Amino acid sequence: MKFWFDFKYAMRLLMKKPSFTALTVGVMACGLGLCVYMFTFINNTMFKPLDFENGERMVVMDREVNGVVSNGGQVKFDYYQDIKAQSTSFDMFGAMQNYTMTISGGDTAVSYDTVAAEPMMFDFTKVQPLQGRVFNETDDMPGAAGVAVIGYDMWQNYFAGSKEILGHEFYIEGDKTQVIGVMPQGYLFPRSAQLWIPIKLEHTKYARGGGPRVSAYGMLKEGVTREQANVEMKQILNRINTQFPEFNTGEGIVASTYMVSMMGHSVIPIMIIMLVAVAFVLFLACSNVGNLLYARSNERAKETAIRVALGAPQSRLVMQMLWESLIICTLGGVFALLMAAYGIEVTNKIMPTFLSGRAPFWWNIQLDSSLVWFTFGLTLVTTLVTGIMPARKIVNGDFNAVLRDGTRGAQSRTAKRVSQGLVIFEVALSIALLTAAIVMAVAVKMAINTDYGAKTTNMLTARISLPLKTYDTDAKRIQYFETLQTELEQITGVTGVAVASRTPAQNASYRAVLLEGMELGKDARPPRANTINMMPGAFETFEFDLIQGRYFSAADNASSENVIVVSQSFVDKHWPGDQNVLGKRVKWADVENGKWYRVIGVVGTVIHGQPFSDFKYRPSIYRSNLQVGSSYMSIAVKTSGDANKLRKALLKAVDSVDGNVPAFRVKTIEAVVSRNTAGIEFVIQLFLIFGACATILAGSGIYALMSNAITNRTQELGVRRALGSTDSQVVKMLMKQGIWQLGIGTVLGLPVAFLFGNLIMGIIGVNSTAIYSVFVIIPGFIAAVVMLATYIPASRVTRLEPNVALRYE
Amino acid sequence: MTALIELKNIKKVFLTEEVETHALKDINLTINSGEYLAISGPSGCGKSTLLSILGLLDTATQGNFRLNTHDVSDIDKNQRAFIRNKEIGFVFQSFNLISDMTVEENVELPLTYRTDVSKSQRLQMVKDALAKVDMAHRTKHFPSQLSGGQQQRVAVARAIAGKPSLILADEPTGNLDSTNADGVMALLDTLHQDGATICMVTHDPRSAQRAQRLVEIFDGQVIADNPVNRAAKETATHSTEAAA
Ligand SMILES: Nc1ncnc2c1ncn2[C@@H]1O[C@H](COP(=O)(O)OP(=O)(O)O)[C@@H](O)[C@H]1O
Ligand SMILES: [Mg+2]
Repeated sequence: MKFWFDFKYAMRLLMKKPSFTALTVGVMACGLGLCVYMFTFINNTMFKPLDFENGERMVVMDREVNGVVSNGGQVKFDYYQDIKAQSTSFDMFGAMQNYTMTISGGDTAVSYDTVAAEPMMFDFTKVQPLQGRVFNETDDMPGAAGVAVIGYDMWQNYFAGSKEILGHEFYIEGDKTQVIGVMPQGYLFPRSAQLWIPIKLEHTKYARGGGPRVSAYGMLKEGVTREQANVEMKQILNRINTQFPEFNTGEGIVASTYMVSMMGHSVIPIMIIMLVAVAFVLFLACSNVGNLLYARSNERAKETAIRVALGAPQSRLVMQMLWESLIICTLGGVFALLMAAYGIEVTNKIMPTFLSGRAPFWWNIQLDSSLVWFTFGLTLVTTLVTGIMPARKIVNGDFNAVLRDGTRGAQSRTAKRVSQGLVIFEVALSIALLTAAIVMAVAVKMAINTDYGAKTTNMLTARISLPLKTYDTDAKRIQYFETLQTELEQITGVTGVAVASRTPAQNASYRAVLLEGMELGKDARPPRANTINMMPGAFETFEFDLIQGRYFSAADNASSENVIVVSQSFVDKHWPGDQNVLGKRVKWADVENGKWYRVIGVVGTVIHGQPFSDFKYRPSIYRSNLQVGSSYMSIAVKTSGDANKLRKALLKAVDSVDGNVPAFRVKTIEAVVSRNTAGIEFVIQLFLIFGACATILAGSGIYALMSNAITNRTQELGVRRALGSTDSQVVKMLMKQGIWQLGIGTVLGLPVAFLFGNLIMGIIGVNSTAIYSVFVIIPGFIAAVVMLATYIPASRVTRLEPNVALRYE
Repeated sequence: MTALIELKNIKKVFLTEEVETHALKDINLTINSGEYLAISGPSGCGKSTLLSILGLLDTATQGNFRLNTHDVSDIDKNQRAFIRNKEIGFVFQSFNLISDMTVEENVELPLTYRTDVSKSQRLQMVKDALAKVDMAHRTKHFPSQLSGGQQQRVAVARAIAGKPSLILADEPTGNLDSTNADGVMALLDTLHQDGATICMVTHDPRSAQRAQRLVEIFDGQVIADNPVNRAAKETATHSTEAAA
């Protein structure tokens, strides 16, 4: 009941100063919200065990070459066998292979993420099929009849939820296969698979050094850590390598969690830095709120003195202070949870766009109960941290003096220094962070708006992957794409068709080349260039600028001389200023005794990939696909209106050429372009939020300090005014204090902002003097915030009548 | 009569910026239960310092202090708070009500620091105290809505609500006009008649006359300690006796 008495009073005080309450709650919400969001994000993407029985013991083997761990790399067949036979760290150790496979025999031909695995995989995840059975050792024997376990989504979509699904036959890459089981909804192991087939490894067939590479995975024995398993695997591989030195390629194996393996090991330090950064923001938020409460406890020194005189025990006095902290932090925590929930929703929507394929099933970040507990715990900690300064004041303060002659307990010198230092730091931080964030935002906006050098609107694109079993010659493949091109041209509304291995804005393979007559120094590496194969007509449809020579024609085929078209960036890099580029020759550096290709044309530079620095200026080489016969191509149809409307017609045209060859990743070129920048735009949003938080922190920090300082001087100011000082003189005097802190903060923060800003501009590859205005505007804005935060408490003093201020106790 | 308070050789030295102020020099004072004592003296002579030592708000630099026969010279902060809350009621010149609490809450506040009083008991005690000072009709008001005299009556109610054995008042009428001052003085009279022990600092001779005993302080020392009213009489009696 006494709690109620104190609580009611604390609530009343908070309601009486709504702006104070809103400010402190807002600051706490910022700090807590960022922390909770970041923690959830990192925990869900990096550290949470997979949602299976024994998920915390599931590991996947990453390949390590000379100390560098490549995530998801496949391991040598020998090593897989050796470790499986010799290691004592694992309860289970298995191999699988991941494919994107073309399925036919249902309504249409479609691609699905497919896993070829040993039967053990289903024991590993301990998930029972919804229908039928999983495959067994007999199914996994080489030569056994083709069977498959399918996923729930595939069952529902491809087989339309058919009731007689078990025993149903269909084709995987042309091989007849029977459905023997259906897995429950949400089962996508190891990442996004919908189709599982026996791997049929022939363990004894291969001599050492032979056999396919496999993705290895394992279940750690209870009580065995990843580190211990890694040590043991290293010992085993060392033994093997001494035994068979001729097969030692310096490769190693590292057991990782599925999440780390997916995100990459180098991401961990970045995540930790992010966590430290948000913890830092939270700490700043706490010290600001602590400072604000401390200012309040100064204002309320007399009240505390009265309570002391009335015999309040110290614990109750401290509790009274903590009530306010608790209410503020709890409200902040509630808002933080809401903010984090919103952030997570946005993240869930955006994250899958970072990947070209389907996102892994564990990328579904959730606000779960552990998170609510985390927030709750954090709220308690922040309550203590924010309450500690005012509470210390209560325990150590001399309140007797306050009661007796009305002098206020002046702020101690150290407390004053600490809070001034804090404000300077906050000014510096907010200038650095906000400026860098805005520079980044502006630079990316500029980069996004850059001209790709070709048409990036009103086109629908798709991928085609020809099965090599049926399309086993260059001629067959070329024939297919020529037919398809004609089919696509028939679609009403289509004004152009392009068939090319890559469209503009899509990443291209980056291959090493040699130029005729070029002297490569001894250990020098050959230069690299984007390599793209174009069917005749693709340049025209994509609207490349022809600078010299000509585009490809139907005559540039297998029976004519090998030709290429190069980009202006290629010319600028390798033959700058040379007028006679046409006729020069280039060949691949990674093919021994390869053919030479003659340059027949120069086109304007087109960006293949993200519109940022490195990609932006990459030299490109285009080959005539009639001379290559690639099986994996992109198609694009151009129209004058909404390209999405062509989707049905495009799928139909592809189906009409060959019902067993599906078109996949059908999307507009606009979507291709925006996927290129979705990730960075997301990062920018995070940065902007950080910057905004830093600004709120700086504003509230200054406000706290100034209120504090000014309240301590109320009586002095009353005297000054009684003696004839004008209001504006008083305000000016007080503003000076804010200004010098602002000055020092700016001097510290601006160079950091400049450094970061330049770094970011370098990475993004935008160099515009217009951006430099950000370095003036943002510090100006921060200055305005700081001045406002100083002006508010200063002007409050002048609103008091001088005689009130004089008697101010 | 039993001695409620016994001060022996009390000294108080303030140290501020290397300047020593000897606020109290060797004070000896005994106050009996039920006594009504006035303390007077020029400004800065140490009256308030003495009162805050009596009220356990401050500790003496030297000397011995017995309250209700218990030595309280060296007890810790929390014990002092406990005794202050149970045994002592304060009335200040500037009322010192908490502005964001209602009249009722202000009076209830010291009672909430007790562990042995239930909520219903507390409300009854608040009601009784406010009735005593004739403020029962203003319970939900905030201090700023009351006149100075009313505020001081609420402060007195707060002081007596917990039935302390000693009431300390530091110039309780200093901020009041004479009408209101008379009201508060009459209130103290009543409290005294009901058995309260009161120790009041005042430099108003008229107020001092209402007490039983007047202690005069000068420069941190007691220079006179006489019964009031009877003092004049007794002086006369003594002189007649001497004359006789
Ligand atoms: N907290 C303190 N620090 C330093 N000096 C003090 C303090 N409190 C009182 N004094 C000094 O002690 C002396 C007595 O003060 P006080 O007891 O307040 O006088 P009175 O109440 O009789 O006017 C004065 O000289 C005063 O300046
Ligand atoms: Mg005094």
